[in-house]
Amino acid sequence: MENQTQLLEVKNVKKHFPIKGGLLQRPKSFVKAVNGVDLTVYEGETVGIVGESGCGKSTLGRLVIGLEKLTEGTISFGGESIGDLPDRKLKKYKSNLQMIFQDPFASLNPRQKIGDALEEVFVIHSNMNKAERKAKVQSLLQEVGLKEEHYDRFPHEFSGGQRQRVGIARALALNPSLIVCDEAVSALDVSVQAQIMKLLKKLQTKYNLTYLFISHDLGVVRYMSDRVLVMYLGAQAEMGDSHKIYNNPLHPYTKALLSAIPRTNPKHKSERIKLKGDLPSASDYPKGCPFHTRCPIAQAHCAEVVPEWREVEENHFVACHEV
Amino acid sequence: MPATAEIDNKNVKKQPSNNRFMKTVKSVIKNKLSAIGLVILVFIVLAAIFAPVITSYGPNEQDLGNTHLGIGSEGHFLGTDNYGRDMWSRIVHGASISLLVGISSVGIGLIGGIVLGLLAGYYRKLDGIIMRIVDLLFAFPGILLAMLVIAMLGTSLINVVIAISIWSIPGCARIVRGSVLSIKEQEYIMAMKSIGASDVRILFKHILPNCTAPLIVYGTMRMATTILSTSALSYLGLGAQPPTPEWGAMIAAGQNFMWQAPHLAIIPGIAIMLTVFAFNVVGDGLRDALDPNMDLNT
Repeated sequence: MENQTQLLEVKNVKKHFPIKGGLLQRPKSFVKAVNGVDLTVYEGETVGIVGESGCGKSTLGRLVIGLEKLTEGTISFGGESIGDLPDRKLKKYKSNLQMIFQDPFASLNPRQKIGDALEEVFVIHSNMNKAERKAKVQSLLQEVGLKEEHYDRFPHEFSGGQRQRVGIARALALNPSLIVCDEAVSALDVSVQAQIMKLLKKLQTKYNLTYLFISHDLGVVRYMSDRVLVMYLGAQAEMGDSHKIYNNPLHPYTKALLSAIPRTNPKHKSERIKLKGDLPSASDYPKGCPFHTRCPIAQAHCAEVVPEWREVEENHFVACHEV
Repeated sequence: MPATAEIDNKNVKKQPSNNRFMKTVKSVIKNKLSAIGLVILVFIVLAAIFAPVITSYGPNEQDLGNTHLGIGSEGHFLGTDNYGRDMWSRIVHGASISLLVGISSVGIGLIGGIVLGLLAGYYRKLDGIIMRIVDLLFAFPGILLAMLVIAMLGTSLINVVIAISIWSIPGCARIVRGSVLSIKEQEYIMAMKSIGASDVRILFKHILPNCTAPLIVYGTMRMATTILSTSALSYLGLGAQPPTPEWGAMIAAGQNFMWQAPHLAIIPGIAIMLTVFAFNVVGDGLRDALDPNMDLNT
């Protein structure tokens, strides 16, 4: 991994949303959506981010592509920190980073033809004329498995899988180096999921793309990812190579998460770890280890001291006192 | 063409040949009352456009030998007024004045309201300031606001247009702001932002086209109010001045002869009533047709 080029570096990133209240709308408290995440992404790999709803994985994705402003920490892309980029450079940066959205029914403007929607990318970022744009869009449509005649259609004339292909085409249009897939296949049914994942993999090898693959679906993440980051309540719980995480999970949260995958072999009995209680509110952030309120192996000091992000074996990091 | 995509290609529907406009018109006509309203509107608009063609006298052409002719008189089938002016010609020319005032003031009101609404809905920081100004405008009774503006600017039809436009802005701004607030959270707006689209592009190309339905309804309903208010202001002597054939001014002039020639006040009254009625029922029909719960895309 070390000899690969580092593409994206996320350092101690925090995103806190203020909850405003009172007469003057002053912030009363904060929702700590992302609370200190470190992540290095190398060129050409796929990093999966898993966690339950509300653990901050989507917020992290949005921070990376610059849709949200950082509260703390730095994100650097290709060696340049994006926090202090001027607006003009930010546009260039944004064209290098694209996103595929979760809901294919909401991610396309219902009043805009597919062709116009895709062309708009080139209207914003290049000086191509109408004919050049059209040719480019039609080759893009073919690239993602759609036909040229789909150019003049409206989004409502497409199925979910096809719309997601349009979303992929839009993300691909500017030849980005990194694509954030935010639950990109979660809204699709299983057979279409498989097609879209195959398409993503094919495009990855063809264009040497790097993916940040955000999903709550452990099976999908395992299929797609080289490395996996497990998040819990805005913080990182465990990170490592995909096979290490799935075969040798260390963090008690990862263990619980993986034990929830249904087994395909009914004779293979594995113990299901059931977590007690609910996910704590991100606005009332627990002291110490964020997981200590539900952790089956929690000790007294877990409620006091924030666990360190340690490398327990090569390329396998975990944040837990008890491992 | 990869084989994998063929499965979901089958789901592609044929492109619908009838567009959104025809669909809307059809569903407006389904309601009988709206259909009647639409017919009246088409008639009024055609009459206003072809006013010089369908009348044989000018609206201000006096014939002092034939004053106060009744309905059904030879050559003047709606009679003549106290100066012998042909009532039919005055009513038809009045229609074009009413429609022009209505369209221009609703148009200006919509433009102002759209700009304010888009800014208020999209930029959180401007929201408070703009909406408080809008609330302030809302607090005045409309006709009073219009009279205030006319008192400052002087009496004329142009000033009526200005006064009524100002009065149309707050309602429109409210509607647009509400739509923008919900649309700007949609994923396709996020997608445009992540592509790097400018705010102006997002606002006018992606948000505005998606909040047209309530605006069309508001505009149509507003036309009725506007025409009625124009007539009311003219009746009070604040709008069109004689000899302009404005309906409200005609009622004001005709009421002096209520006993000798009641049609002088009644005919313009009916004209106002029919126009306002038509705009209102068409507006109702449009509201049903463009109901946000009804998916226009299917």
